[in-house]
Amino acid sequence: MASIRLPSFKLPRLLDAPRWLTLLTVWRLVHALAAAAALVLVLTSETIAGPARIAGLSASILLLLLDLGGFLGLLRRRSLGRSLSLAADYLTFMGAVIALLQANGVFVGMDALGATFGRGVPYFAVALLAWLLGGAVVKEGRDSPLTRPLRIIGWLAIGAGLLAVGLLPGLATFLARTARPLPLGLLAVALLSAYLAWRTFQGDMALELRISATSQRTMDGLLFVSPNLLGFIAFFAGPLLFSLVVSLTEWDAFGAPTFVGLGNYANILSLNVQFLDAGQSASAALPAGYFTWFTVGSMVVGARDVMFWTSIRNIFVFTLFALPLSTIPALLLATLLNSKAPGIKVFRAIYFIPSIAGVVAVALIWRQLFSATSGWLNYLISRFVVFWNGLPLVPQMTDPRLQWLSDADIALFSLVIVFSWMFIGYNAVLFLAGLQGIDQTLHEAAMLDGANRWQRFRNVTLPGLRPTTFFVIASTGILTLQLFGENVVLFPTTTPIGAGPENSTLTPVVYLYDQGFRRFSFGYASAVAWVLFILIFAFTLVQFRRQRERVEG
Amino acid sequence: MPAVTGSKRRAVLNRAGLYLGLSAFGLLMLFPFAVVAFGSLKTVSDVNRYPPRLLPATQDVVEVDGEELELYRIEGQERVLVERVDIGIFAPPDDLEATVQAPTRDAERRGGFLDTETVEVDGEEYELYDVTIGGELVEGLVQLGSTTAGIFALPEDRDDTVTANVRTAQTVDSLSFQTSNFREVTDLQGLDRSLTNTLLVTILVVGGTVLTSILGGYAFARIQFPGRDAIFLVYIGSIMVPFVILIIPLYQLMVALGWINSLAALVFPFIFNAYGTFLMRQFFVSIPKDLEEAAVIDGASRWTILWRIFVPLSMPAIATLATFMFLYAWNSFIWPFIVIGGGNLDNHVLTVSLQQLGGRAANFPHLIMAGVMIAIAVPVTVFVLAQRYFVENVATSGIK
Repeated sequence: MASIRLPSFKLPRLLDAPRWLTLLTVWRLVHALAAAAALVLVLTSETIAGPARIAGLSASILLLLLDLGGFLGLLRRRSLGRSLSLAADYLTFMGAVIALLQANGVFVGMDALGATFGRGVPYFAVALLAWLLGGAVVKEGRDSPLTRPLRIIGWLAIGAGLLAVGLLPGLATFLARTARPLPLGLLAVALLSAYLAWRTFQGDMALELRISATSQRTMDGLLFVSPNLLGFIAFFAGPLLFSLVVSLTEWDAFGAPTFVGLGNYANILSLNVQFLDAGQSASAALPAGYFTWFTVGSMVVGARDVMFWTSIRNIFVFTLFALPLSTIPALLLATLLNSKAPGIKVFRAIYFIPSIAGVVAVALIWRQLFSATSGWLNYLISRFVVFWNGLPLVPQMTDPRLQWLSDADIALFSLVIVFSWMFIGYNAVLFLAGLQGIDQTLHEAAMLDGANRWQRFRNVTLPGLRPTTFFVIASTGILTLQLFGENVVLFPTTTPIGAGPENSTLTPVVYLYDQGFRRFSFGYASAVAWVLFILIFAFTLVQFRRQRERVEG
Repeated sequence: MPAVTGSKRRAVLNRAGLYLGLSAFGLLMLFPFAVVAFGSLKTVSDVNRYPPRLLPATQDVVEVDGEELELYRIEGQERVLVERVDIGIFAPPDDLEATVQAPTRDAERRGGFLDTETVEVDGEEYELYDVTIGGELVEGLVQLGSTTAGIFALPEDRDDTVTANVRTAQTVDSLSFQTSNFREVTDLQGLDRSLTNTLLVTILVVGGTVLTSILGGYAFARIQFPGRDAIFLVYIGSIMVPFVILIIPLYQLMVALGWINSLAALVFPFIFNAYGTFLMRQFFVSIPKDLEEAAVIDGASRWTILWRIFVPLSMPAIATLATFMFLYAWNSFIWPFIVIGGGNLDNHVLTVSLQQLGGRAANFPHLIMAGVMIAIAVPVTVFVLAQRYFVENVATSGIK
């Protein structure tokens, strides 16, 4: 393993600690003014809207608060002042660097890299090979004479690969683009903030302000977490809150959103039950705005958003079949795998393969098998029917010749087959890990008590597997409730895409996609997402409580 | 004594049953892959053939007098198809059951094309033909249907001919692998570019996730600071949040950044991963403190300790995370479908390309299967390699 060594160089420490403290205090005011100016700019701007506005507002307010707090703290020579000041300069630095990269088109420039990347692949493959060999020749932690040459070959291959991919033209473009006012300004801000943060971080400043160990540790900790945390806020926490807000609006993404409160949710969830009089039609019995979801006898259930409720019905049926089909055989398989017979690892690997092939490939594989005219499934069924009809004393069967993907009664079950096939092996490996964690002495004790195989499975294995079972059911359930990829691949031409024949495979995520990206009702689609989230959460919670009750009971 | 042999026999039976069960499941898992692997090497007519067969084969051809002719097996003899003849099924209008077959070229339409003579039978109108059957002219027949007959000759003797139905004739086939399918599908859907794009995105996602997870996991595991546990709890909670809820807002964020239809949208939102941070943190916590204490006494910085002590010890966890993220990035579909599915082909990744191929090349199932093989080749290879790497490495962690 090649260790990563950073080049060491020393930046000069400008000014001594007391003077730097004075300068920093003044700088905080300047920085606060800049943050305030940015805040005013965002507030008054007409062009900054949507997520950019939210991000701009929260960033400038955060910086302003950090600056003011830092200023007061530094003035009173509190260690908190240094912490806040560091945070403000560090965030400014990160923001300026990202803005510089964005302004120079580095992120979007990845597309051009995609075009040339193929040329570098052979070199990178050589580097990978050298690295793997380097790991293989190390014996008991000691380097072999081959380690050094392999390391050199690896680094040379990476260098050659980068050159082949176009590192130099890329750098030239970057430098040329930096020579414009905005990027230059951003570069200056980034360098300045970096130096300010670094200088303030030095030991003499810590001594000057009598920084406590806790405060220092906090700074260290936040520094290490910061790349992760900032990304987490930008790409998870922020969007999550944004989604909640959007779900309370009517928004087509072009105009300004209109606040509608819980209106979207009311529309989605509204149901109405009526009992029909003789001869009355369902649509006449339902109040205005409601459409028939289903009828049972004389009872008619209407919904304002029938499509949504259809998707709920479909996903309920799908989960009802797919969940047992992808977990119970998996448990059986795991008990088979849990033996010391030779070759068992090969079988384990084989069962795992469907789950690594990915949804799209798996769905396309099954599309071939489902083919009504030349697919293996119908062929094998025909063969079975011929075999069956040849048996004496059985009722004759007719060859069903199923239309797996175009018959509205079957399409959803075809998806069940695809999904279960994909996850049986994966779940079996999870169960296997659980089985291997069960204390063997319990089995032996049960055997001494004369328990047969089934009793041992029922009374030792199953209780011991409970945490695994919970995990498998919960994670599989979360997947089934979000079914989308299989639909889109198997039904690419229906409208909505993935909804299948007569909406028979319309699932909540398919519906969400249709609302969001075909009808551009982003507010409504966000509300659908939240309803689905609550559904998934409730499912997980129920599983969790069932597991806990059993353990305690 | 008999008891011992009995239990021995039972053990053997058990073992046999075990392998039988395992193999049955194995067949269930492998057979669909085999169908597609062989299907990717077939011609389109071979794929669409019924009953289906596993191995790719094409009909043999024999050169006879400088002509390439298709080979069939007729009544146990190998014969070549010399000529196809359209056969009409004719019957007299007063008895439609009494059919005769004759080549349509021997049938002449009464009255030519201009004023064809017709006759009405059971409410349907039929054209009248004069047909030469066995050298004799039979007049006034109606045509009920048609079929194709072939004249089959022995390859060594072209005059020895037999007439038989071409459609039901048994063909003489031999294995042949259409490797050109891969080239064809690559050109059709730009799969080479999708492959390098997918590679690039995957490498960046794996590398980025491992880097941020190591940094974050280390802080959560080893640096005690106020608020740390609260942040960590939020991280764990976020693992529970399904991705679908982020689709709409993330899409808006990508619009704001100008990353729609760009590979950047597939990389940066995914390299800050709560699951990875959690995984690394759990592993770092299990590393004994005395390993780093010597380094702390030597005055090493946290940065040095992390990269010199923690990272080398955590290779199994890093490999687990890298494999997980590799599969995630390589196979992710819903997000690429939304964010780059509408853009130009050049920026597509494999999953999106395959989905589109499936939509537009429905009549070329052999090409779709070739595309599937291209897409799964890399993950399957990595899995086969990393599977061993895992098993060996989990056993040998830093401290024994």
